[in-house]
Amino acid sequence: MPRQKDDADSVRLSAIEEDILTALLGRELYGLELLGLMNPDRPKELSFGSLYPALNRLEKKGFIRWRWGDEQDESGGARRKYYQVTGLGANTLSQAQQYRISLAQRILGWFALGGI
Amino acid sequence: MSKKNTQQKTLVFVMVCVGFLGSSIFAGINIFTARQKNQDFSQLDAEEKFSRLPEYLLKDLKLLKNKDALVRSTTARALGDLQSKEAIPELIVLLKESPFSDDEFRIILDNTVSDRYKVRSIVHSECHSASEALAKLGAVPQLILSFKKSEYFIFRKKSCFAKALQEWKEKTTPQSTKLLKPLVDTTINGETSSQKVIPILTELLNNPDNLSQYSAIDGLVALDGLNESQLRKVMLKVINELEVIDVLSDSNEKAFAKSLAIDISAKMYLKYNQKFKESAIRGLSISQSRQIRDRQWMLTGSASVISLCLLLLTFFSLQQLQRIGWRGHLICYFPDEVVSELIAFRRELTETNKSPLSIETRLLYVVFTLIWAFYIQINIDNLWLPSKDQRRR
Repeated sequence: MPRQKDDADSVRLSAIEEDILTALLGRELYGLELLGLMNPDRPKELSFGSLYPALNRLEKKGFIRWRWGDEQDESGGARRKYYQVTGLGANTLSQAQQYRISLAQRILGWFALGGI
Repeated sequence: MSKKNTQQKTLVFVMVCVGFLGSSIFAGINIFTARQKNQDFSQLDAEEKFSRLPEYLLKDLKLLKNKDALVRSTTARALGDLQSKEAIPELIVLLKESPFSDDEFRIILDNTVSDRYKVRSIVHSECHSASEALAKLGAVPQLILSFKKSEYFIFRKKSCFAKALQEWKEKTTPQSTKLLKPLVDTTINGETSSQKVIPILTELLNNPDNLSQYSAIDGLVALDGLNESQLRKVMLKVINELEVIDVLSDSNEKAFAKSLAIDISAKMYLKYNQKFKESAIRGLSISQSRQIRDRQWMLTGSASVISLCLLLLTFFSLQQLQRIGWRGHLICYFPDEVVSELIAFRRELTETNKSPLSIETRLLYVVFTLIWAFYIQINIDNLWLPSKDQRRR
Protein backbone atom coordinates (compact mmCIF):
# COMPACT_ATOMS: atom_id res chain seq x y z
CA MET A 1 0.00 0.00 0.00
CA PRO A 2 2.64 2.59 0.87
CA ARG A 3 4.34 1.89 -2.45
CA GLN A 4 1.06 2.54 -4.28
CA LYS A 5 0.63 5.79 -2.37
CA ASP A 6 4.16 6.86 -3.34
CA ASP A 7 3.41 6.09 -6.95
CA ALA A 8 0.21 8.10 -6.84
CA ASP A 9 2.03 11.05 -5.26
CA SER A 10 4.78 10.95 -7.82
CA VAL A 11 2.26 11.05 -10.69
CA ARG A 12 0.32 13.95 -9.20
CA LEU A 13 1.03 17.30 -10.89
CA SER A 14 0.61 20.71 -9.34
CA ALA A 15 -0.44 23.72 -11.42
CA ILE A 16 3.12 25.10 -11.52
CA GLU A 17 4.53 21.71 -12.46
CA GLU A 18 2.00 21.33 -15.22
CA ASP A 19 2.83 24.80 -16.53
CA ILE A 20 6.53 24.01 -16.52
CA LEU A 21 6.02 20.69 -18.33
CA THR A 22 3.85 22.42 -20.90
CA ALA A 23 6.49 25.12 -21.43
CA LEU A 24 9.22 22.52 -21.79
CA LEU A 25 7.34 20.27 -24.25
CA GLY A 26 9.41 19.86 -27.36
CA ARG A 27 12.16 22.25 -26.33
CA GLU A 28 15.10 22.74 -23.98
CA LEU A 29 15.11 25.79 -21.72
CA TYR A 30 17.06 27.19 -18.76
CA GLY A 31 15.44 28.78 -15.69
CA LEU A 32 15.32 32.40 -16.77
CA GLU A 33 13.99 31.43 -20.19
CA LEU A 34 11.28 29.40 -18.52
CA LEU A 35 10.23 32.38 -16.42
CA GLY A 36 10.32 34.65 -19.45
CA LEU A 37 8.07 32.23 -21.32
CA MET A 38 5.59 31.58 -18.55
CA ASN A 39 5.23 34.91 -16.78
CA PRO A 40 3.79 37.29 -19.43
CA ASP A 41 0.26 35.80 -19.35
CA ARG A 42 0.39 34.18 -15.95
CA PRO A 43 -2.15 35.56 -13.42
CA LYS A 44 0.43 35.35 -10.65
CA GLU A 45 4.04 35.88 -11.57
CA LEU A 46 6.27 32.88 -11.02
CA SER A 47 9.45 33.69 -9.12
CA PHE A 48 12.83 32.01 -8.86
CA GLY A 49 11.88 30.94 -5.35
CA SER A 50 8.95 28.90 -6.71
CA LEU A 51 10.58 27.76 -9.92
CA TYR A 52 13.53 25.85 -8.46
CA PRO A 53 11.56 23.79 -5.93
CA ALA A 54 9.10 22.88 -8.72
CA LEU A 55 11.98 21.88 -11.04
CA ASN A 56 13.44 19.81 -8.21
CA ARG A 57 10.13 18.00 -7.70
CA LEU A 58 9.71 17.33 -11.40
CA GLU A 59 13.24 16.01 -11.60
CA LYS A 60 12.78 13.76 -8.57
CA LYS A 61 9.57 12.39 -10.06
CA GLY A 62 11.41 11.69 -13.28
CA PHE A 63 9.34 14.06 -15.44
CA ILE A 64 12.26 16.22 -16.57
CA ARG A 65 16.00 15.83 -17.06
CA TRP A 66 18.74 18.37 -17.50
CA ARG A 67 22.19 18.92 -18.97
CA TRP A 68 24.88 21.49 -18.32
CA GLY A 69 25.20 24.26 -20.85
CA ASP A 70 28.57 25.40 -22.19
CA GLU A 71 28.15 29.19 -22.65
CA GLN A 72 30.45 30.12 -19.73
CA ASP A 73 31.45 33.60 -20.90
CA GLU A 74 27.89 34.85 -21.14
CA SER A 75 26.96 33.72 -17.64
CA GLY A 76 30.14 34.96 -16.05
CA GLY A 77 31.80 31.59 -15.53
CA ALA A 78 28.80 29.78 -14.03
CA ARG A 79 27.15 27.08 -16.08
CA ARG A 80 23.48 26.93 -16.96
CA LYS A 81 21.21 23.95 -16.61
CA TYR A 82 19.02 23.19 -19.58
CA TYR A 83 15.84 21.30 -18.76
CA GLN A 84 13.79 19.04 -21.00
CA VAL A 85 10.76 16.82 -20.57
CA THR A 86 11.23 13.04 -20.30
CA GLY A 87 8.91 10.50 -21.88
CA LEU A 88 7.30 9.87 -18.52
CA GLY A 89 6.76 13.59 -18.03
CA ALA A 90 5.21 13.98 -21.48
CA ASN A 91 2.88 11.02 -20.85
CA THR A 92 1.81 12.30 -17.46
CA LEU A 93 1.13 15.75 -18.84
CA SER A 94 -0.78 14.25 -21.73
CA GLN A 95 -2.92 12.19 -19.33
CA ALA A 96 -3.65 15.24 -17.21
CA GLN A 97 -4.62 17.29 -20.23
CA GLN A 98 -6.74 14.41 -21.63
CA TYR A 99 -8.57 14.21 -18.33
CA ARG A 100 -9.34 17.92 -18.45
CA ILE A 101 -10.58 17.70 -22.03
CA SER A 102 -12.86 14.78 -21.21
CA LEU A 103 -14.09 16.55 -18.09
CA ALA A 104 -14.92 19.63 -20.14
CA GLN A 105 -16.72 17.49 -22.73
CA ARG A 106 -18.74 15.75 -20.02
CA ILE A 107 -19.80 19.04 -18.57
CA LEU A 108 -20.75 20.43 -21.96
CA GLY A 109 -22.82 17.28 -22.62
CA TRP A 110 -24.52 17.67 -19.29
CA PHE A 111 -25.49 21.23 -20.13
CA ALA A 112 -26.73 20.10 -23.57
CA LEU A 113 -28.98 17.53 -21.86
CA GLY A 114 -30.72 20.26 -19.87
CA GLY A 115 -28.60 20.52 -16.72
CA ILE A 116 -28.95 23.59 -14.67
CA MET B 1 38.96 34.00 -0.06
CA SER B 2 37.56 30.52 0.42
CA LYS B 3 33.87 29.68 0.48
CA LYS B 4 34.22 28.26 4.01
CA ASN B 5 35.90 31.42 5.29
CA THR B 6 33.15 33.59 3.84
CA GLN B 7 30.47 31.46 5.41
CA GLN B 8 32.23 31.61 8.78
CA LYS B 9 32.44 35.40 8.61
CA THR B 10 28.80 35.63 7.64
CA LEU B 11 27.91 33.38 10.55
CA VAL B 12 29.85 35.63 12.93
CA PHE B 13 28.08 38.65 11.46
CA VAL B 14 24.68 37.03 11.98
CA MET B 15 25.58 36.04 15.55
CA VAL B 16 26.71 39.56 16.39
CA CYS B 17 23.52 40.91 14.85
CA VAL B 18 21.52 38.58 17.06
CA GLY B 19 23.59 39.67 20.08
CA PHE B 20 23.02 43.33 19.29
CA LEU B 21 19.32 42.76 18.78
CA GLY B 22 19.13 40.79 22.03
CA SER B 23 20.86 43.45 24.10
CA SER B 24 18.77 46.16 22.44
CA ILE B 25 15.59 44.26 23.26
CA PHE B 26 16.81 43.84 26.83
CA ALA B 27 17.49 47.57 27.04
CA GLY B 28 14.02 48.23 25.60
CA ILE B 29 12.42 45.99 28.20
CA ASN B 30 14.36 47.87 30.87
CA ILE B 31 12.99 51.16 29.60
CA PHE B 32 9.46 49.79 29.57
CA THR B 33 9.78 48.44 33.09
CA ALA B 34 11.46 51.60 34.37
CA ARG B 35 8.10 53.13 35.16
CA GLN B 36 7.13 50.14 37.26
CA LYS B 37 10.50 50.29 38.97
CA ASN B 38 10.01 53.97 39.71
CA GLN B 39 6.73 53.05 41.34
CA ASP B 40 8.55 50.46 43.45
CA PHE B 41 11.13 53.04 44.39
CA SER B 42 8.37 55.43 45.48
CA GLN B 43 7.07 52.72 47.77
CA LEU B 44 10.54 51.96 49.01
CA ASP B 45 11.03 55.66 49.61
CA ALA B 46 7.86 55.66 51.64
CA GLU B 47 9.02 52.62 53.60
CA GLU B 48 12.38 54.17 54.28
CA LYS B 49 10.80 57.38 55.47
CA PHE B 50 8.43 55.46 57.70
CA SER B 51 11.30 53.57 59.22
CA ARG B 52 12.81 56.96 60.11
CA LEU B 53 9.52 58.63 60.98
CA PRO B 54 10.47 59.98 64.43
CA GLU B 55 13.43 61.96 63.06
CA TYR B 56 11.34 62.90 60.04
CA LEU B 57 8.63 64.38 62.26
CA LEU B 58 11.11 66.00 64.61
CA LYS B 59 12.25 68.10 61.71
CA ASP B 60 8.69 69.34 61.72
CA LEU B 61 8.65 70.58 65.29
CA LYS B 62 7.56 73.86 63.83
CA LEU B 63 4.22 72.12 63.37
CA LEU B 64 3.70 72.65 67.09
CA LYS B 65 3.64 76.36 66.30
CA ASN B 66 1.30 76.05 63.37
CA LYS B 67 -1.56 78.53 63.15
CA ASP B 68 -4.08 75.71 63.16
CA ALA B 69 -4.91 74.33 66.60
CA LEU B 70 -5.71 70.95 65.09
CA VAL B 71 -2.30 70.65 63.47
CA ARG B 72 -0.63 71.56 66.75
CA SER B 73 -2.76 69.07 68.59
CA THR B 74 -2.23 66.15 66.25
CA THR B 75 1.49 66.76 66.04
CA ALA B 76 1.67 66.73 69.82
CA ARG B 77 -0.13 63.39 69.97
CA ALA B 78 2.07 61.92 67.27
CA LEU B 79 5.25 63.03 69.00
CA GLY B 80 4.01 61.42 72.19
CA ASP B 81 3.27 58.19 70.38
CA LEU B 82 6.71 58.25 68.80
CA GLN B 83 8.41 58.80 72.16
CA SER B 84 10.14 61.93 70.90
CA LYS B 85 11.63 63.17 74.15
CA GLU B 86 13.33 66.01 72.33
CA ALA B 87 9.88 67.53 71.91
CA ILE B 88 9.12 67.85 75.66
CA PRO B 89 10.03 71.57 75.96
CA GLU B 90 7.87 72.44 72.99
CA LEU B 91 5.01 70.35 74.40
CA ILE B 92 5.20 72.15 77.73
CA VAL B 93 4.82 75.43 75.91
CA LEU B 94 1.83 74.02 74.09
CA LEU B 95 0.27 72.79 77.32
CA LYS B 96 0.19 76.31 78.65
CA GLU B 97 -1.58 77.67 75.63
CA SER B 98 -5.29 77.92 76.03
CA PRO B 99 -7.34 79.23 73.17
CA PHE B 100 -10.64 78.76 75.02
CA SER B 101 -11.89 79.10 78.57
CA ASP B 102 -14.12 76.38 80.07
CA ASP B 103 -17.20 78.44 79.33
CA GLU B 104 -16.13 79.00 75.78
CA PHE B 105 -15.67 75.25 75.42
CA ARG B 106 -19.21 74.57 76.60
CA ILE B 107 -20.63 77.08 74.13
CA ILE B 108 -18.64 75.59 71.30
CA LEU B 109 -19.77 72.10 72.20
CA ASP B 110 -23.39 73.15 72.27
CA ASN B 111 -23.31 75.06 69.00
CA THR B 112 -20.82 73.44 66.70
CA VAL B 113 -21.08 69.72 67.22
CA SER B 114 -22.44 69.31 63.69
CA ASP B 115 -19.19 70.62 62.29
CA ARG B 116 -16.96 67.64 62.40
CA TYR B 117 -13.80 69.64 61.76
CA LYS B 118 -14.38 71.80 64.79
CA VAL B 119 -15.51 68.89 66.92
CA ARG B 120 -12.44 66.92 66.10
CA SER B 121 -10.41 70.04 66.66
CA ILE B 122 -11.85 70.22 70.16
CA VAL B 123 -11.43 66.51 70.80
CA HIS B 124 -7.84 66.80 69.82
CA SER B 125 -7.31 70.20 71.36
CA GLU B 126 -3.67 70.93 71.76
CA CYS B 127 -3.70 71.17 75.53
CA HIS B 128 -5.34 67.77 75.80
CA SER B 129 -2.99 66.27 73.25
CA ALA B 130 0.00 67.87 74.84
CA SER B 131 -0.92 66.50 78.26
CA GLU B 132 -1.51 63.07 76.78
CA ALA B 133 1.80 63.23 74.94
CA LEU B 134 3.66 64.35 78.03
CA ALA B 135 2.15 61.47 79.98
CA LYS B 136 3.29 59.06 77.32
CA LEU B 137 6.75 60.58 77.33
CA GLY B 138 7.05 60.18 81.10
CA ALA B 139 7.12 63.92 81.62
CA VAL B 140 4.56 63.57 84.40
CA PRO B 141 6.20 66.01 86.88
CA GLN B 142 6.09 68.77 84.33
CA LEU B 143 2.51 67.85 83.49
CA ILE B 144 1.40 67.97 87.14
CA LEU B 145 3.17 71.27 87.56
CA SER B 146 1.27 72.68 84.65
CA PHE B 147 -2.05 71.32 85.91
CA LYS B 148 -1.46 72.98 89.24
CA LYS B 149 -1.09 76.28 87.51
CA SER B 150 -4.24 75.90 85.46
CA GLU B 151 -6.66 73.40 86.96
CA TYR B 152 -9.35 73.63 84.31
CA PHE B 153 -7.15 71.58 82.03
CA ILE B 154 -8.25 68.49 83.92
CA PHE B 155 -11.91 69.31 83.57
CA ARG B 156 -11.46 70.01 79.91
CA LYS B 157 -9.62 66.76 79.39
CA LYS B 158 -12.39 64.73 81.01
CA SER B 159 -15.50 66.54 79.90
CA CYS B 160 -14.92 67.73 76.40
CA PHE B 161 -13.41 64.47 75.18
CA ALA B 162 -16.41 62.35 76.23
CA LYS B 163 -19.00 64.96 75.37
CA ALA B 164 -17.63 65.75 71.93
CA LEU B 165 -17.42 62.11 70.90
CA GLN B 166 -20.96 61.51 72.04
CA GLU B 167 -22.27 64.52 70.17
CA TRP B 168 -20.34 63.65 67.07
CA LYS B 169 -21.86 60.18 67.06
CA GLU B 170 -25.42 61.49 67.17
CA LYS B 171 -25.43 64.67 65.15
CA THR B 172 -22.78 64.49 62.47
CA THR B 173 -24.26 64.09 58.99
CA PRO B 174 -21.54 63.95 56.39
CA GLN B 175 -22.17 62.29 53.03
CA SER B 176 -20.60 59.10 54.23
CA THR B 177 -22.31 58.95 57.61
CA LYS B 178 -23.66 55.53 56.85
CA LEU B 179 -20.20 54.19 56.30
CA LEU B 180 -18.56 56.22 58.98
CA LYS B 181 -21.02 55.25 61.68
CA PRO B 182 -19.67 51.75 62.28
CA LEU B 183 -16.20 53.26 62.52
CA VAL B 184 -17.37 55.82 65.02
CA ASP B 185 -19.20 53.17 66.98
CA THR B 186 -16.16 50.97 66.98
CA THR B 187 -13.92 53.79 68.13
CA ILE B 188 -16.26 54.97 70.86
CA ASN B 189 -17.40 51.63 72.19
CA GLY B 190 -13.94 50.18 72.05
CA GLU B 191 -14.98 47.27 69.87
CA THR B 192 -11.55 47.14 68.33
CA SER B 193 -11.63 43.38 68.00
CA SER B 194 -14.69 43.50 65.76
CA GLN B 195 -13.97 42.28 62.23
CA LYS B 196 -17.41 43.28 60.93
CA VAL B 197 -16.40 46.79 60.00
CA ILE B 198 -13.30 45.82 58.03
CA PRO B 199 -15.13 45.31 54.69
CA ILE B 200 -16.96 48.61 55.17
CA LEU B 201 -13.77 50.42 56.00
CA THR B 202 -12.00 48.80 53.05
CA GLU B 203 -14.77 50.11 50.80
CA LEU B 204 -14.38 53.49 52.39
CA LEU B 205 -10.72 53.52 51.32
CA ASN B 206 -11.93 54.17 47.77
CA ASN B 207 -14.11 57.09 48.82
CA PRO B 208 -13.01 60.27 47.03
CA ASP B 209 -13.41 62.23 50.24
CA ASN B 210 -9.95 62.56 51.76
CA LEU B 211 -11.23 62.72 55.31
CA SER B 212 -13.39 59.62 54.89
CA GLN B 213 -10.33 57.81 53.60
CA TYR B 214 -8.34 58.83 56.64
CA SER B 215 -11.14 57.74 58.94
CA ALA B 216 -11.10 54.38 57.20
CA ILE B 217 -7.32 54.10 57.48
CA ASP B 218 -7.54 55.04 61.12
CA GLY B 219 -10.02 52.27 61.77
CA LEU B 220 -8.21 49.70 59.66
CA VAL B 221 -4.90 50.36 61.37
CA ALA B 222 -6.61 49.94 64.74
CA LEU B 223 -8.26 46.70 63.62
CA ASP B 224 -5.22 45.34 61.80
CA GLY B 225 -7.39 45.23 58.70
CA LEU B 226 -4.86 46.35 56.11
CA ASN B 227 -3.31 43.76 53.87
CA GLU B 228 0.22 44.14 52.52
CA SER B 229 -0.72 45.94 49.30
CA GLN B 230 -3.23 48.25 51.04
CA LEU B 231 -0.64 49.03 53.65
CA ARG B 232 1.83 50.07 50.99
CA LYS B 233 -0.74 52.23 49.22
CA VAL B 234 -1.76 53.91 52.44
CA MET B 235 1.86 54.47 53.37
CA LEU B 236 2.52 56.09 50.01
CA LYS B 237 -0.53 58.30 50.32
CA VAL B 238 0.30 59.42 53.83
CA ILE B 239 3.93 60.14 53.02
CA ASN B 240 2.89 62.09 49.95
CA GLU B 241 0.45 64.04 52.08
CA LEU B 242 3.19 64.82 54.57
CA GLU B 243 5.48 66.03 51.83
CA VAL B 244 3.08 67.86 49.57
CA ILE B 245 1.07 69.92 51.99
CA ASP B 246 2.61 73.14 53.16
CA VAL B 247 2.67 72.99 56.94
CA LEU B 248 2.28 76.72 57.25
CA SER B 249 -0.71 76.77 54.96
CA ASP B 250 -3.74 78.63 56.19
CA SER B 251 -6.12 76.25 54.50
CA ASN B 252 -8.07 74.39 57.17
CA GLU B 253 -8.84 71.50 54.89
CA LYS B 254 -5.17 70.95 54.01
CA ALA B 255 -3.96 71.46 57.53
CA PHE B 256 -6.54 68.99 58.75
CA ALA B 257 -5.47 66.44 56.15
CA LYS B 258 -1.88 66.98 57.13
CA SER B 259 -2.60 66.54 60.80
CA LEU B 260 -4.52 63.36 60.06
CA ALA B 261 -1.61 62.14 57.97
CA ILE B 262 0.72 62.78 60.88
CA ASP B 263 -1.63 61.06 63.27
CA ILE B 264 -2.04 58.01 61.08
CA SER B 265 1.62 57.83 60.18
CA ALA B 266 2.50 57.76 63.87
CA LYS B 267 -0.01 54.98 64.52
CA MET B 268 1.25 53.03 61.53
CA TYR B 269 4.80 53.53 62.63
CA LEU B 270 4.06 52.08 66.03
CA LYS B 271 2.19 49.17 64.54
CA TYR B 272 4.20 48.33 61.46
CA ASN B 273 7.66 49.63 62.21
CA GLN B 274 8.98 46.09 62.57
CA LYS B 275 7.59 45.25 59.16
CA PHE B 276 9.33 48.22 57.57
CA LYS B 277 12.57 47.26 59.21
CA GLU B 278 12.21 43.68 57.95
CA SER B 279 11.57 45.05 54.51
CA ALA B 280 14.78 47.01 54.70
CA ILE B 281 16.64 43.91 55.89
CA ARG B 282 15.32 42.00 52.89
CA GLY B 283 17.64 44.13 50.85
CA LEU B 284 15.05 46.49 49.52
CA SER B 285 16.63 49.62 50.87
CA ILE B 286 16.55 52.50 48.48
CA SER B 287 20.25 52.86 48.03
CA GLN B 288 20.76 49.16 47.32
CA SER B 289 17.87 49.01 44.88
CA ARG B 290 19.08 52.08 43.08
CA GLN B 291 22.56 50.62 42.89
CA ILE B 292 21.12 47.44 41.40
CA ARG B 293 19.13 49.46 38.88
CA ASP B 294 22.14 51.55 37.96
CA ARG B 295 24.22 48.42 37.57
CA GLN B 296 21.57 46.89 35.33
CA TRP B 297 21.54 49.99 33.17
CA MET B 298 25.30 50.00 32.98
CA LEU B 299 25.44 46.31 32.01
CA THR B 300 22.73 46.68 29.41
CA GLY B 301 24.32 49.78 27.98
CA SER B 302 27.77 48.17 27.90
CA ALA B 303 26.39 45.04 26.23
CA SER B 304 24.67 47.18 23.61
CA VAL B 305 27.77 49.25 22.93
CA ILE B 306 30.06 46.19 22.76
CA SER B 307 27.62 44.42 20.45
CA LEU B 308 27.40 47.49 18.26
CA CYS B 309 31.21 47.72 18.08
CA LEU B 310 31.45 44.03 17.18
CA LEU B 311 28.72 44.49 14.64
CA LEU B 312 30.55 47.37 12.98
CA LEU B 313 33.84 45.49 13.15
CA THR B 314 32.46 42.40 11.44
CA PHE B 315 30.57 44.56 9.00
CA PHE B 316 33.77 46.32 7.91
CA SER B 317 35.56 43.01 7.84
CA LEU B 318 32.84 41.68 5.57
CA GLN B 319 33.18 44.76 3.41
CA GLN B 320 36.54 43.37 2.33
CA LEU B 321 34.68 40.44 0.84
CA GLN B 322 33.11 42.83 -1.62
CA ARG B 323 36.32 42.68 -3.57
CA ILE B 324 35.18 39.24 -4.62
CA GLY B 325 32.16 40.77 -6.27
CA TRP B 326 28.55 39.82 -6.44
CA ARG B 327 29.23 36.65 -8.37
CA GLY B 328 31.71 35.40 -5.80
CA HIS B 329 29.17 35.85 -3.02
CA LEU B 330 26.53 33.96 -4.95
CA ILE B 331 28.88 31.08 -5.67
CA CYS B 332 29.35 30.67 -1.91
CA TYR B 333 25.67 29.97 -1.36
CA PHE B 334 24.01 28.77 -4.55
CA PRO B 335 24.61 26.09 -7.17
CA ASP B 336 26.08 27.02 -10.53
CA GLU B 337 22.85 27.13 -12.47
CA VAL B 338 21.29 29.63 -10.02
CA VAL B 339 24.36 31.86 -10.14
CA SER B 340 24.28 31.98 -13.90
CA GLU B 341 20.54 32.71 -13.86
CA LEU B 342 20.92 35.49 -11.34
CA ILE B 343 23.76 37.09 -13.27
CA ALA B 344 21.63 37.02 -16.40
CA PHE B 345 18.65 38.33 -14.46
CA ARG B 346 20.73 41.21 -13.12
CA ARG B 347 21.91 42.03 -16.59
CA GLU B 348 18.30 42.07 -17.76
CA LEU B 349 17.32 44.42 -14.98
CA THR B 350 20.17 46.83 -15.60
CA GLU B 351 19.18 47.05 -19.23
CA THR B 352 15.82 48.41 -18.17
CA ASN B 353 15.43 52.03 -16.98
CA LYS B 354 14.92 51.05 -13.35
CA SER B 355 16.85 52.85 -10.63
CA PRO B 356 19.86 51.07 -9.08
CA LEU B 357 18.07 51.00 -5.73
CA SER B 358 15.00 49.24 -7.10
CA ILE B 359 17.27 46.78 -8.95
CA GLU B 360 19.21 45.98 -5.80
CA THR B 361 16.00 45.65 -3.80
CA ARG B 362 14.54 43.27 -6.36
CA LEU B 363 17.72 41.20 -6.43
CA LEU B 364 17.86 41.10 -2.65
CA TYR B 365 14.29 39.81 -2.56
CA VAL B 366 15.11 37.14 -5.17
CA VAL B 367 18.23 36.08 -3.24
CA PHE B 368 16.24 35.73 -0.03
CA THR B 369 13.53 33.66 -1.70
CA LEU B 370 16.22 31.48 -3.25
CA ILE B 371 17.91 30.98 0.11
CA TRP B 372 14.55 29.88 1.47
CA ALA B 373 13.93 27.63 -1.54
CA PHE B 374 17.31 25.91 -1.57
CA TYR B 375 18.01 25.60 2.13
CA ILE B 376 14.51 24.94 3.45
CA GLN B 377 11.80 24.14 0.92
CA ILE B 378 13.73 21.78 -1.35
CA ASN B 379 15.09 19.87 1.63
CA ILE B 380 11.59 19.48 3.03
CA ASP B 381 10.21 18.40 -0.38
CA ASN B 382 12.97 15.83 -0.71
CA LEU B 383 11.78 14.09 2.44
CA TRP B 384 8.90 12.45 0.57
CA LEU B 385 10.03 12.68 -3.05
CA PRO B 386 11.49 9.51 -4.55
CA SER B 387 15.27 9.38 -4.80
CA LYS B 388 17.09 8.50 -8.03
CA ASP B 389 17.58 4.91 -6.86
CA GLN B 390 13.87 4.44 -6.19
CA ARG B 391 13.04 5.78 -9.65
CA ARG B 392 15.39 3.34 -11.28
CA ARG B 393 13.65 0.42 -9.57
